[in-house]
Amino acid sequence: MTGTLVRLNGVTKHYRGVRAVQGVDLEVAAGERLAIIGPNGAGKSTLFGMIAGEHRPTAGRVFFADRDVTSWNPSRRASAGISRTFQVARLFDAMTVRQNLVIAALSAHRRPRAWDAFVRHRSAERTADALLERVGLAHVAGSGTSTLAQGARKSLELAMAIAQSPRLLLLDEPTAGMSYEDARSAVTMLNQLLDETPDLTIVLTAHDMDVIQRVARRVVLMARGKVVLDGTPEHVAGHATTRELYLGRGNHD
Amino acid sequence: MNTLLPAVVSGIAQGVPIFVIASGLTLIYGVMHVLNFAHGAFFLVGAYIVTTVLHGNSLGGFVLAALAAGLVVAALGTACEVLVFRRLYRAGSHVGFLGAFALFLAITGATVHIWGHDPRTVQYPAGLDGAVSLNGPRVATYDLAVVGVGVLLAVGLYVLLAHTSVGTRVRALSHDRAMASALGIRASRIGTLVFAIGSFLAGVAGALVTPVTSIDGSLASSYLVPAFVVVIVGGLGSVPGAFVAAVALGVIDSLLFAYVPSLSGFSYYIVVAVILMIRPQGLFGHASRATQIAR
Amino acid sequence: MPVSTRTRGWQLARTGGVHVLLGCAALALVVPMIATGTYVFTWTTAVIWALFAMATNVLFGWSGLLSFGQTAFFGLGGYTVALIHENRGNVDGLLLLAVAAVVAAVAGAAFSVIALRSTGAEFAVLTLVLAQVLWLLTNRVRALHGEDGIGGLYSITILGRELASDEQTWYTFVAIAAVCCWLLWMLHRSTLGAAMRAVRDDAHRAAALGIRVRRVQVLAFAIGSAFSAVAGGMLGLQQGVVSPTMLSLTISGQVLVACLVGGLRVFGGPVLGAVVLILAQQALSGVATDSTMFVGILLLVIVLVLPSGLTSLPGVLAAHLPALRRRARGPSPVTADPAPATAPKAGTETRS
Repeated sequence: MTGTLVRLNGVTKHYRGVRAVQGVDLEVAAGERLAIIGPNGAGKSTLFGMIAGEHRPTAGRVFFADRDVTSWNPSRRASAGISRTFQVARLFDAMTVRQNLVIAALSAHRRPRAWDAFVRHRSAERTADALLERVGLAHVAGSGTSTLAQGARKSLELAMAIAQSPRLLLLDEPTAGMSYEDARSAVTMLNQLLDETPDLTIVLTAHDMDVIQRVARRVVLMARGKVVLDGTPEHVAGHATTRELYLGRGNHD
Repeated sequence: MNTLLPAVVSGIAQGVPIFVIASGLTLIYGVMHVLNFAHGAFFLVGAYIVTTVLHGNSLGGFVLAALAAGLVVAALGTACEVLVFRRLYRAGSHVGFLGAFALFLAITGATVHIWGHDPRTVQYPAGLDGAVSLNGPRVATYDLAVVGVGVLLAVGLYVLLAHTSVGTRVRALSHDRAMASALGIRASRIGTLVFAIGSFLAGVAGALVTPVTSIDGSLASSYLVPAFVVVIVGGLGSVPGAFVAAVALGVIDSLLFAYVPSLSGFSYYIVVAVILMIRPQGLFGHASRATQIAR
Repeated sequence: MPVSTRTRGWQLARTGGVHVLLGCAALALVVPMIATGTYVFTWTTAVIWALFAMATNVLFGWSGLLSFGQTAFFGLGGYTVALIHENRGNVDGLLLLAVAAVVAAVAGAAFSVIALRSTGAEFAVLTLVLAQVLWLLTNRVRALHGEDGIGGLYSITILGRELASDEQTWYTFVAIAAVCCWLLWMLHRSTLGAAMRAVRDDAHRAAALGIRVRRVQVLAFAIGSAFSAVAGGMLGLQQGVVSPTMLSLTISGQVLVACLVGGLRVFGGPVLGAVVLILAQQALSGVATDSTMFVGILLLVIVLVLPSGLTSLPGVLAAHLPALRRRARGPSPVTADPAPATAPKAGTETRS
């Protein structure tokens, strides 16, 4: 079922006099695959953070599935169906790979009944095991996450995000720091996932145009806190403004 | 009216030793980000030393005993910093708290072995017992003396912090540790110095209360916990805040003792609960930049 | 992993927590055979402290909440049992302990809802304030009899029978502790247990996964307080009296030591720590009458040397041993310098 899943109205974020995001209006439809790009300092991470709930907008409102979530913290938004990954993969390093996934899978049940907390998390364990197979981490299920290579860490984090059965998947630089092969398999897996769940909406930030063109269907270019371009990957990639921002006079606010 | 003024003066006098302990605590926290539980033990040791060293009740003798207490405790505090805290700074706040708590227990436990279980008392120094009449209401002389000492110490600390190079460095570290280090200010040296000063103050505070109460093991926590409350209410790292909070809380408690005795002693804790609800950074503290994730 | 843990039977037993019950049953039967007279009393004290330490570890080791005020709930449990018994007589001991647990759970939840709004230093201070306030109450409130405490607890009956002998007390207490530990095992394996561990490791990350961090922490507090109170009530039953000494900071320190000595990250660690601590205190009781200094020094040693507890000793030794052997053979170009365990956070989760 289509419809607007995320709506940002006049969202603004000031930090101590710096205008990170200025009056951004954005609508994301359900099932859409959106990439937000822009040079460093353009405000894309901040905008991303405001969808995720990490930053509270100085002005403007954020809507998710027609509800005003502007004042909701990340935990509440996660329960509502938003899951995210971090630019540098954040995992529970004192626990094993499998335990990390189990915890992520726990939140797939939105508004669990109170007594569910005191029983064993069997369905979460099943979800975790299935995902371990899928992302190819089953062989390290019992290892501590600190022993994983960078690419594996990001794969695990992606698996954790998927384990939450989200409606909106926010990926912050999903292939950053990955080798070429790892990035390719991550993109393949992502596309497979998207084909299987057409209702899943993805918003990602990325620097790699190749990744963007393979995953995203719509690209938004930000500069100096504002949306400058909004169109298909081909349109934005070929646009003069884009070239200027990335290759021209360099990155500055 | 005749009870109000003595109660207020008595309240300020009650607040002074707590301010003295709290100022040391807040300075140490500001510079080293360690909550030094052991301060309560230092305070107790200072009090016990006075009971041992003081013979007779001459005023001069009392002053000397207080100084001796301060110096011995300063040495003790410096030893603790060098031997224990220095190793724990890198390990994260839990470990620092545990280490400070361990020192608190170890030192207060040691006082029982050295000075025994029985409570000790000390006489008022000559000339400071009794009361003085201020146009009607009679105020305890010792209270006035303590207030005087408190003012003196507060002024001394102010001069130290605002007008000496050491004090400036302490304040710089307290406000922005990264910047201060980048300017070449050695946090470890300043930290040891602040520990020494803070411990000296704790010892002197212990000396100050000896004529007023009986000295036994429970004194440590009876003064330490209100001192912590004062540090929080005044704002972590702020000495003026500690002064205002100590005086205010002392007066509130003293007034309660005079008019609603059953609540006295609990006023500190009620106030800290209220302050944490409405202004968590304390009166003079800066709001923390860390976002509260749990809501 | 040893082969024996892979058998189906063992897996099932672990799942149901049966191994906890069996372990307690074994302990219950063995101790009276090797210990006599006062040693049974000492072991009973150890069981009480084992439960107290397990309860505290729900906050400390499982959820990462360091509280210096656990003595407050320990004392609250004891005084609740004593007060109800003093005022209503004839109430069964088990019911008294259950009421104490509920009272402490409510108190713990209420306290944590307020205290968890602060972080770090302020939270630590608030836990101290809690201990101090309760201590003041026991000394000031006339109904609590001040320093003398409340006595007459020997006449409390459990399931109709008085605890007439040390052996009877032993079996009863081990049974109660076994039930409590079994409940804690189920919690450990449950969704809530996993959420606690996530919150401990990275609260922000846990929140981004949808875990209600504050709710998990408050529940941890409530559960930890409840079982601490049961332990406190048991102490009252064993000693026959409760007094303000049950609310000293020494007790808070002692229970933290028990957790640390045994190992925060291992389920049964606090039990081991408590047993070691109590037996050691008994052995030293000829030397030192007041245990405060002993507890402080022990805690200091742990903090400086072995923050992950005794159970991490094999791991730490294994890491350091090659370096020690090499040093014994003489200087070599290859120096193995394993990262020392600095904070109690080091070490991986051993059992899921």
